[in-house]
Amino acid sequence: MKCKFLAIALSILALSSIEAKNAKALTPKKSKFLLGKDKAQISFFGAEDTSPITFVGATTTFTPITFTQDQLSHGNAITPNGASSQFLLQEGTYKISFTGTFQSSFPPSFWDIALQVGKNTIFINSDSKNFLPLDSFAISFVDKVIEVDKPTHLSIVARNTATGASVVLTTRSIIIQKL
Amino acid sequence: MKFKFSALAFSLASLAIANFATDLPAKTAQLLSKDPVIKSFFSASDSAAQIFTGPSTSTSPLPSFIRLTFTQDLHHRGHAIKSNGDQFRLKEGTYRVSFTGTLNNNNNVPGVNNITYDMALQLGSKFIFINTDSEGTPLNNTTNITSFTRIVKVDDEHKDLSIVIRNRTFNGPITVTTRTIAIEKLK
Repeated sequence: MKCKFLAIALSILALSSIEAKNAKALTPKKSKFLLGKDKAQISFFGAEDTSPITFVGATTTFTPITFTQDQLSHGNAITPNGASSQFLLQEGTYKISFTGTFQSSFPPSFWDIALQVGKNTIFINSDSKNFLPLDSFAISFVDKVIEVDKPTHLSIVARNTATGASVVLTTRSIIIQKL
Repeated sequence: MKFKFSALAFSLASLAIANFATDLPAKTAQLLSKDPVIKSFFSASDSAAQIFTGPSTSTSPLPSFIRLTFTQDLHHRGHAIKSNGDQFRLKEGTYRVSFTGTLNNNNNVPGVNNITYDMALQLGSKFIFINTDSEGTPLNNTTNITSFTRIVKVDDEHKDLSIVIRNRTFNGPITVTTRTIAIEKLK
């Protein structure tokens, strides 16, 4: 009987040590310390450009958009090419954001903006403006999450589908954030 | 003797479970440490109309940029971003800034139909990322949802950030109604 009590007492003691160790492991101070290490795991790339790109009308092929100014990057997951028009993404999930000012000319203009992921052109969005002199500007915004299972090239691409009209892209920015 | 063995066996089993269980939180924490975490963020909205008038004459210089306010529905975490309603003090670091808003050309001034305006970020004393948009006549295209996003870097101890607008069109006001800003500290 004594030995049974001893066994139970020792077991309770051992179980108490579990609780104590668990509690210690989950103290906010320690969690905060661990979270602080996360900074090294974040990867992102952001850049701007203001040099005009003219998209001539009635074009079926997409042209990559460049982002050569104010480049900010962190981590090793995203690598731009020399022209800053194509980005090599390592395996993972990414949020891609694009903002750009398009200016149309006479006659009314229509343009497509898409993502070139490897050999695939995906997420083709369209925008347009009419020919009125003061209504020719548009800020186009695109936001999309993509997943790549191997190193893959990404570009933001655009084309002008209107017959005869040209579209000029001026200020634009890209943000690629590894999620 | 049997009981002594039982006692010893119970104790060893308990200790084994203890060690196994203690490893779990450590492993969980290790996994958590691999996740990207946004340490500080701020977001706010506003729906109070702000009206922006253009140059007073066709030959007048462009008006100054004016800050947009964001005073409602505030959400924030961390200490890197402080709001003053229309200005946001950012501590040293890299931030993602996002804006979405409704702009409306509601003027009926004779001879003034379309409105062109610039939207930008003011970081310290500099105006950066100046984008341009336009609204059509009250008859064909009066309202627009505009969104943009940009990464900014603050090298100093802190810098003030604002979303700003200026109206480029002579005598034609433009109104900003519903809008929101989100600022995330990336590193």
